[in-house]
Amino acid sequence: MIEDEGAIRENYAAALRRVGYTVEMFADRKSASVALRRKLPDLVIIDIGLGDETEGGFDLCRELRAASSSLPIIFLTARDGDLDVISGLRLGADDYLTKDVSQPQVLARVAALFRRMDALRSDTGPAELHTVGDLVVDRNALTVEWKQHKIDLTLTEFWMVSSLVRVPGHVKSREQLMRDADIFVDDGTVTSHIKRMRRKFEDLDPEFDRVETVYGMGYRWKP
Amino acid sequence: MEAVKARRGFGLRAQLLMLSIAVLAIPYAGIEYVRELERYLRDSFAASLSDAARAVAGPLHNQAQLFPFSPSESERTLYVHRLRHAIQLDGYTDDWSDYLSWTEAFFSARPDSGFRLIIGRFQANYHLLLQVSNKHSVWQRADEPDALDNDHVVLVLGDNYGNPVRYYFSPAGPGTLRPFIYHFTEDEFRFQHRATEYITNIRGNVQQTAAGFNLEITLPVSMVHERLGVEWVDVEDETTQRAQGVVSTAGVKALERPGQLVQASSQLVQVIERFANVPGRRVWVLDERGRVLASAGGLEKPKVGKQPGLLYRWMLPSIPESFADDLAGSSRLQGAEVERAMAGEVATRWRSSPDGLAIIVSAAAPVLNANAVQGVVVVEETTGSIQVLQREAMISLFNKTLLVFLVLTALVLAFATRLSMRLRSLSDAAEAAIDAHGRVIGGFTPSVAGDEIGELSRTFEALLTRLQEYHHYLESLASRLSHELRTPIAVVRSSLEHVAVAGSRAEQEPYLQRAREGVERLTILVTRLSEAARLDLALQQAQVQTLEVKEFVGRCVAGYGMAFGNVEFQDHTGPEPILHAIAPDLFEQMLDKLIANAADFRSPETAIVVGLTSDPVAWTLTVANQGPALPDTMPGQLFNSMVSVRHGSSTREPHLGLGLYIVRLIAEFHHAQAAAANLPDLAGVSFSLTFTRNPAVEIPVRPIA
Repeated sequence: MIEDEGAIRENYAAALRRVGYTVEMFADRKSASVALRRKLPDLVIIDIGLGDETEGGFDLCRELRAASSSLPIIFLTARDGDLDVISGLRLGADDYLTKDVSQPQVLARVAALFRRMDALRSDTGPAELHTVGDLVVDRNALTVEWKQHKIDLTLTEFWMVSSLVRVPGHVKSREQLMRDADIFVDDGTVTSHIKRMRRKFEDLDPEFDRVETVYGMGYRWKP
Repeated sequence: MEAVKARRGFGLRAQLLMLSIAVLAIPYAGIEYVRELERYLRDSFAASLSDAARAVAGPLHNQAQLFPFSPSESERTLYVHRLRHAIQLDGYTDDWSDYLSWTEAFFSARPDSGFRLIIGRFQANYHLLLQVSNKHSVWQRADEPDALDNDHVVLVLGDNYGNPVRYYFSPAGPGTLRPFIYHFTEDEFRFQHRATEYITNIRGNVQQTAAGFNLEITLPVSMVHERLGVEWVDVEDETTQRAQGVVSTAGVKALERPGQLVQASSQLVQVIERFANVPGRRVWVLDERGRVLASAGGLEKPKVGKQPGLLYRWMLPSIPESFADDLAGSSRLQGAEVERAMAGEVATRWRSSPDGLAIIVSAAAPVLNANAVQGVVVVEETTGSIQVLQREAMISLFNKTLLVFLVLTALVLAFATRLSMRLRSLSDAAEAAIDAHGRVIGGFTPSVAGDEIGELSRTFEALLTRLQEYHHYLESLASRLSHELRTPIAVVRSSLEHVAVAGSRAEQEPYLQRAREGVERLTILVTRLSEAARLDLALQQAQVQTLEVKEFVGRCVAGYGMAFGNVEFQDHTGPEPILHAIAPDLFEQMLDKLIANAADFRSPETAIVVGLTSDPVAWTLTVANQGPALPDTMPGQLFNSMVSVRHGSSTREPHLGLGLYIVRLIAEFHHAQAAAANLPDLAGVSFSLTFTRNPAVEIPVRPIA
């Protein structure tokens, strides 16, 4: 865990340790970078602003992605605006958390990411597949395929897609999506998550138009 | 906010165009110039005429034989013109046409009774033409050929002894006639007899005209002895046959003592004709009493100069082709110039012709004989040539003015168009740089022009940049606030979650401590925000007192030393005290902010240096720290934009960029200049506040209570 704010670092670390994870803590990019180069952990939580470096977290993420493409990375941010910056940078983080998220949510996400890791690593796991047209959702491995191509979604995004396709054509309100994705932030955050997810589909298939905005209500998956 | 409604008015182009109408002042100046020119021309014209008069007078000096014996002042003289051709005695005026303008008028009080007379000489004959005005002709009765109770004319000539001889022309109708004279004889009874004798060598001819009749008379030169008179007797009523009016050339005495005939010697005429051959010039020679001895030339002259265009013919007064000549045929000239010439001076005079169509200039010069004035030469010309010159100058002036006006108008129009286009594009660009909601979109390209519009454009750009920065600050303030708030909230929340699951009191304690710290940070944030908001009120209520600044700053610095550690006070002001009217609590708050700012950014283990310098005009307070330098981008705007530009904060204090804003507000309250600059070698930053001394408040020295 790399976080410059001592109290938050200590609090999250204590929560993670309480459920049995081993946590190493770093206050700035330099010390973290040195330690991580020595040995890669199983999962990294990075604060974006690190001391004097307002975007030190991004640099660190880039380094880690270069070292390993499969290492789960969670961004911790104090600012909503950063979410859009992250999407612009395409740093390949697996999830984003805002700092006011509750500890159980943090723990749930960490657990989910580990589950996905396990599912990917062991090909033998029973695939829990759900197919809607060209879309194939694996609820076990937490992965999504569109027209036989794998789409690299974050956990939040995966849960949102999964929630939308449960009943295709039905409108999901923002609150429902937030609940399903286990995030408790404001509406604007949902919008930006949807936006980012849609863009990931569009990068693969420019014709993609299944995620539809129903103004005043929410979103639905167009069957 | 309601937009200010612009007054409707002329555009820039119309305004400039109207200004260009001021060019029309050029013709005014030009006309003044032409007038000046005219004055000069007139002067030189008068001078040249004077010279001409002198030149004419030159050969006449000391030539007494050219000037005839002068009769006495009271006598009326008749001028004998030299005719250039013979006159047909027929009563018609055709062969007089060259001389008709020289006729002299003799009228009674009634304008319809009188005559015009001209006397000419051709070779050995005198020719007289009388143009008699007569309302009602009463002819001689056919049966009384020597009767005089009808309209008749008396010609009076002096004989060899000076006695008058009367010749009666008593016409019985149109046609030739001969005059008769009366001889009075006394018989032995002393009874007077009147005998009529017809004269054969004097002939006359009468022709009726619309106004009356013409009488032409021819007589040999030998019959005339210097004197000649004419009398016209008008009879209106055939029944009473009494004379109604008598008009004569020499008044009532004409019959007794006729007027003297004056004529120029041929030598005199020869002399002056040489000078009168200039077209439009008339030369007179007068005797010393102003009577005309000779004249030559004429004022009328062929028109010169090309005909101007229709426009100018309409605009400018035309030069008259003919005008009334008051002096034609005069036998005597008068006027100031003649009088002065008689006194021995050369003089000129300007006068209008009687009909006002022409201006005549006459120059008179004396003719001397043994240093006594024996005559006067008068040279006359009309100012027609000046008028032609003036007219040509005026036309040329109008043409050039028109050209200049057109060119200038075109230039002004082009200039104004360009100016208004530039202004419009500037206005459009400025408008485009801000969207409908007042947000600065940017994209304003400043002009590189060196003039005021370029300056305006650059000012706009600076303004927009600052506005954008300010907007940016406001926009980022929210996200910065959420960032600054979210961190302590996260601390508090996560700590409380731990407290909830912690078992013992001892386990809870560190989390409770963290939660308290988080709440503390939230409190500081709120305090800072409200501090900036409260400052306006504080400024309004501030109490100003005159203090000794060195002592005050010194005490403050001592306090900061305890709070922040390692704060130095360097006083470079010299021994004399600095007295200034300040609001102590605000001043201290300002100093607090500067010291806190310096403490935030200083490198560890370095001192904050508070300095005081002064000169006779102002004193300056500086707060300097070692540490990261200011970025080049906006050193002067630190105070303005409320933007925090340095990222090197080493503390965990929340930072909203409000501190320097507060410094600026308080500095402005004290009329001080706030500035920020990097230290040499970018080793750190120095903030300075420059206070202008106010002599009025430096009088009393009051110890700080």
